[in-house]
Amino acid sequence: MYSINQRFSTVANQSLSYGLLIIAIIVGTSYYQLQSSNAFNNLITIGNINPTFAIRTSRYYGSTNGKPKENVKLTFDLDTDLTSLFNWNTKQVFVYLVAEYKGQKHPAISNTVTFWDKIITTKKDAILHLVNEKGKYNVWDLEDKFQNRDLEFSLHWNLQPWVGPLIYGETVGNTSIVLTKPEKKKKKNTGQEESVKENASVDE
Amino acid sequence: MLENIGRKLIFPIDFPSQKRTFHLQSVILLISALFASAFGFFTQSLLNLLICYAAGVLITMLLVVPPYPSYNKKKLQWVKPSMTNSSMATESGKITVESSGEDIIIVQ
Repeated sequence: MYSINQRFSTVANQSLSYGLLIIAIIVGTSYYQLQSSNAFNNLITIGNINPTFAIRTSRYYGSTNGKPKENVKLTFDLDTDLTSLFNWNTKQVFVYLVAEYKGQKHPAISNTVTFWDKIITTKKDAILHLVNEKGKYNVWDLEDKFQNRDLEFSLHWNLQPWVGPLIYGETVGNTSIVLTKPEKKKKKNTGQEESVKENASVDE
Repeated sequence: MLENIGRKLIFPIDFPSQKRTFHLQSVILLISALFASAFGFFTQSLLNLLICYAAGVLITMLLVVPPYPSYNKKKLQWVKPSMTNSSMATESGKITVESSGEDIIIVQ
């Protein structure tokens, strides 16, 4: 503390050290807020899941060596309230609709695929009320077909805070459904044509 | 040249003030850190916390860093040398040495 340099650097150092204390307080209080607002047990209802199947032969849709691969896309309804995830330390929340299913050849193995996701940045957008929402992603399995699989849907979230570690969680209320082909719609043929066209363009 | 400038920019303060400013600094910083956290928590805003803490750090800097005149009142008093020029002159007898500044004049 003798010279002006030393006084400046000790103040700067100590203020940074107490910055660590502030960080610890922020992380602790925001986690406590999540716990007390019951954020880890948000209820959800997923329903009206309608799969559409398409046979793809492009390798961008999972096909290997031109072997056709069945792709699934979904439309679904979803209702949940994730406002309890938003407190002073929340930057944004990444929510993703996940389906878990067992392998056909190896039932002990559990697979997880993501059909849809969304980034929520404000508390207003955290109330999700989706009707006939289209799934974002084409999904395929290691095996050729996705039909007649028993899928268990759940909504996961990943909270990205301003300060501190990422927090992962899951909403309560899973929906199980067996994916079957809708009998009225015969979109399989058109899907095939599309995929054939895509495949041709890729080969060029 | 540069050394001279550097020597003038030290701005020292006396020993009791050094102790006092260090104590002051740690107390103010700790209080402002705790207060800023509480303020940010109750307003649910990280920006408020940052502004509050920055203000606390700034106040500490203003109190501690500049060498105020009041921090230099108790300067260490060095013991003055007991041997003077006149006593040297009486020992040597004939030669008296008078020093004024850096010039030395020998009078016989």
